[in-house]
Amino acid sequence: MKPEGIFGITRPDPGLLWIYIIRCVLTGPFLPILILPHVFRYMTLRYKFDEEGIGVSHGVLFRRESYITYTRMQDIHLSRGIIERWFGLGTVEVQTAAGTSAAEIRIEGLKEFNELRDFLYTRMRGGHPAPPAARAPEGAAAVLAEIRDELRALRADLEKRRAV
Amino acid sequence: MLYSALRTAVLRILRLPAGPPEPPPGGTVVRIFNASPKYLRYRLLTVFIGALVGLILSVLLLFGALAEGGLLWVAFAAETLFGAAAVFFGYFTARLDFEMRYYILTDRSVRIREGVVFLRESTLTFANVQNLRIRRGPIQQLFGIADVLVDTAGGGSGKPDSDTHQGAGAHRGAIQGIENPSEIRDLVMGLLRKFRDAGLGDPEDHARSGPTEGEPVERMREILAEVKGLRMALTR
Repeated sequence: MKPEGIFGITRPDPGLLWIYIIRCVLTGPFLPILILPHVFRYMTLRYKFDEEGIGVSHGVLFRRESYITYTRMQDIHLSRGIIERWFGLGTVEVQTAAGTSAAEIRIEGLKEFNELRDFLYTRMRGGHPAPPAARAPEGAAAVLAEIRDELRALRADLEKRRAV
Repeated sequence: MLYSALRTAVLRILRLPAGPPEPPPGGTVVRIFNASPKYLRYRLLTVFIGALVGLILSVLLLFGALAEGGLLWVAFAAETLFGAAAVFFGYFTARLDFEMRYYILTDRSVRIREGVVFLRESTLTFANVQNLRIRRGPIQQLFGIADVLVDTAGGGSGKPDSDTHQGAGAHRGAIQGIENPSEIRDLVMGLLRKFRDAGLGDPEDHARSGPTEGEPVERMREILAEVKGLRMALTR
């Protein structure tokens, strides 16, 4: 998938809502307590991919927005539980060097998790070929060679004049 | 035979991918490897101990039932059935976990796939690696295996050695259950060395040492020689 495809992702797959519902049902008696926050979470979940980084926002009463830049990403984890695999979805977790063991950003409910992971990988630090180390600008050697030739000619002239 | 048939069925139900994961794009793959078969034996040890405990309990219940009868027969049957199922399940998951475990080293990163019920693939680039070490517990030593831990920056709750169930903490890739930990460690070290700015150090510190090598310097020396000669020629 081209980067434009990734930039176009703003919402999770509708399957995520079903995953949330199944998970809540599996908690048994906690279903009534958990179901509303999860539905709201799904309804308000927004992703934003741009040239510099990723933004994730969700929440109605307590609105949360996180944004991290690609170059600050430390680890990329792809996790897929059984229910997610049944729906063909996956979660990409991205971590920075901040002091938490939980992922800073979880991009849930994507069918394109593999493409997204590859996309993030190529943009994270160390994922692409390192820029060439600082070198003398192109053509410096040629200029230096010219200076040398010039000096050589100068000396030759001087020696010739002295000889006369 | 039974195992492979069951395995195919379980893989389909759990929607588990059978082959190794895709290597990260862009780099060249240095090595793809699995955990050692000894790691499977190490994992099966706990299943074996559990089976032993269950067996002893079953035998005790059987003797009790023979002597007293009644409810103890029900307890014996339930314990034996439940125990057998648990042992079978333990064996199956341990073996599947071992078979589904993949480690991929490319020239730029390491990718670790693990887990059966909860599948997890961690990708860490070498440019972000802070720390590399080998961990080997007494029982692992007995089995002749060890873990290579690849740490990146970032904290978290828990002790340095603690792992989640999956074997990897948040900022860590754990290459678990391999026989040649020092070889893998050195291999990763060698790959790491290519990233002079690996970790959180300031890349500007040493990467910007300027044009001090190669052709330009040679040319400068020649110019120096020329200028010296020029001066000699003038002052003669």
